[in-house]
Amino acid sequence: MREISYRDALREALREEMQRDPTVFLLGEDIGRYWGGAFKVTKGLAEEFGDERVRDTPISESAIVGAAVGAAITGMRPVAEIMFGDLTTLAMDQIVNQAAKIRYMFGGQAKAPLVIRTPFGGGVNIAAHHSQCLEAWFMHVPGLQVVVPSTPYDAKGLLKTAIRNDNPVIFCEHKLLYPITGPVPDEEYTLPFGVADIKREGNDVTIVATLYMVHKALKAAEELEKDGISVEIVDPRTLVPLDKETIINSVKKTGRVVIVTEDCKTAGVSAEIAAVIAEKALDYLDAPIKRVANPDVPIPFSPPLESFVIPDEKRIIEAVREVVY
Amino acid sequence: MRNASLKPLGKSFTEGVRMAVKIVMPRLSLTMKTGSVVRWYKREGEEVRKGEPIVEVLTEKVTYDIEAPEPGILRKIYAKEGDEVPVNGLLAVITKPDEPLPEIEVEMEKPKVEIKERIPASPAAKRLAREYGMDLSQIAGTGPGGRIVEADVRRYIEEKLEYKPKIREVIPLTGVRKISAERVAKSAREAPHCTLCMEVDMTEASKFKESLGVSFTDIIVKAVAYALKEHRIMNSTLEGNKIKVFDEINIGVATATPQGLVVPVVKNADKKSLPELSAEIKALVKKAREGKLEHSDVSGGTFTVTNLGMYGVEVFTPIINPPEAAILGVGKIIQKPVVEENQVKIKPMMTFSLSFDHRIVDGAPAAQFLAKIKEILENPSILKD
Repeated sequence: MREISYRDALREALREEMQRDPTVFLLGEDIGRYWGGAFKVTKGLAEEFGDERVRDTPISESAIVGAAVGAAITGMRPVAEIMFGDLTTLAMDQIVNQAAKIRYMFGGQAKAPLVIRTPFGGGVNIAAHHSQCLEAWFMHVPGLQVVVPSTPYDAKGLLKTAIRNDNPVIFCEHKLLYPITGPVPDEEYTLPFGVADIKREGNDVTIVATLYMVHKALKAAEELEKDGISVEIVDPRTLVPLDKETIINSVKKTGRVVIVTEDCKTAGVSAEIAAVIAEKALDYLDAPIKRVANPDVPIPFSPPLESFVIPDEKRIIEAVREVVY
Repeated sequence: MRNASLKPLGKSFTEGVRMAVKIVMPRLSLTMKTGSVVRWYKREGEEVRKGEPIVEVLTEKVTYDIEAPEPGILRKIYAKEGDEVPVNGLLAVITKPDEPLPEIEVEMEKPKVEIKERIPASPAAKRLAREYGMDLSQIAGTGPGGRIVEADVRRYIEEKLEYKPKIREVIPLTGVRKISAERVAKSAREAPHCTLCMEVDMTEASKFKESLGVSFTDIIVKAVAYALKEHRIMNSTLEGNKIKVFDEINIGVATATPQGLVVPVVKNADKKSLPELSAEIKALVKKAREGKLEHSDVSGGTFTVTNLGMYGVEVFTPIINPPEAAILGVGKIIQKPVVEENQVKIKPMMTFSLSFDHRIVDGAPAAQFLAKIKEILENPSILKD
């Protein structure tokens, strides 16, 4: 199978959906022909589909999402890009109080089928305003779907599903994932929401990881295998809906679990997953649930401090060793 | 020796002459067996005033300050902070300032009571132990801090001699199952069972069955009713010191249903014609299978017929349906070689198993009853009227 980058996989998904459905259009800051998006995901699409369908917007996240919500209600399928996940804060009212609630409050007579694509995550030395992982905020809002693809294959299949989904979808990307390559088939496919993927099979311990942490967990698992520790890696792929069953079944098999996410530990994604495991599989746990996440601090600008804060292979390995005894 | 009062009081060490005072672990509740020393407010050699707290002790749920019952010097402490001390165990001695420490037999026996300690075990280990009915206190833990992990329980189960099989599911004993359980247990416990078996040549009965278009069960019920008329003692019940012989012949037909075994009863079976009986049995069995039997359908039985022939069973030892005196088990019809007039012939043979309550009837009359059934079934035309 051909290998393409995560960035190119996203672009393919956008292109295919725009070709398939004339109501799909893109809007966001610098996504058009002059810049092609801060991370070049939309590069070339303005030339292909025209400026009407690939719209550069003013620097106002609230306006971007507000316009997208309005367009969605009137029958379009907008895909908005927020240049950095941190800046979704500026559009929070539009996301949380408008987009998330329209379908419910209009009893299904109106819906807001929009997608908000945005990159989260650190590791590129752009400091506290541009490095956060805020997925957990959106998990907490009924009405939103939250997608966290970790590979080019998942990114393409899930973005196509997100665009066709009738609910507002927060499509979380990660800056370090854009250049990562992986197999993506030529033929068309979509991936369902709420179906986790087992990225690696193992018997001794389950690692639940999301986004870029999936790749760090895979490297950690290789190291651990040298010591005879067999690691299973579960990638939920969508946080809302969350595939609890796959997580629970893996934990029932291994009896030990380490949850690795890049958001802050307190009230984070890992907290929700840990709670689900404690509720549904307590009797199968042979060791305490272990979480590897960011400490509750802003992401430092200093590269050494940043790499200290964000979980790495070493911390994952240490956590696994703590629960495998 | 006793310190009956809940109020913790030191007691006089030497009766009459009030000198050194022992401080002992008070009994703070009726169930309290031990207490532990939390902390000493005073050091050895320190002066204490009457009523001044000198030590904090802890029992199951509460902490309590023991006050000095007399002024003096806290001469000697016998229990360190954290020590577990039985009720009335010595904690300290208070003396007069110039008084030497009296020689005291220190009864610092270790507490004999078993202290139920929390056994550290992972939830997975606990689940497995529960499934196998294992006692965690017998298992050595290999996890951090001696925590018992799943592998420890598994190892223990494998090594343990007294192996208990894993429970797959627990079915509560309710409804029909519960009633059945109680009744068969009562019957097996109280009525001395004796089972007689007899083979019956069903050649004629088979022809008879075909000619009338009824079932074997119908014919057998009719034959039993007929035989009971001549052997009334088989149609009776034992109540205390009285054997009560029934006037009615009401025959229960044991029927397997999805809910369990039920026994609908054909009332006055001896007075009904075969076609009537057949129709009634058919209706009752249908009701039974559909769970629609009413109380009147299953009560008033005086004798029971149970058939396992359709499952291939030849002979069995049925349990009497209490409070009846006997039950007739019906087996499968099997083509068997039978010697008749010095010739081997193949005949359809059916074995009947009659269990009876030996308190009510002896073997000989029961055998005669069974022989009567055989006689009827081998000459079934008498059942026609």
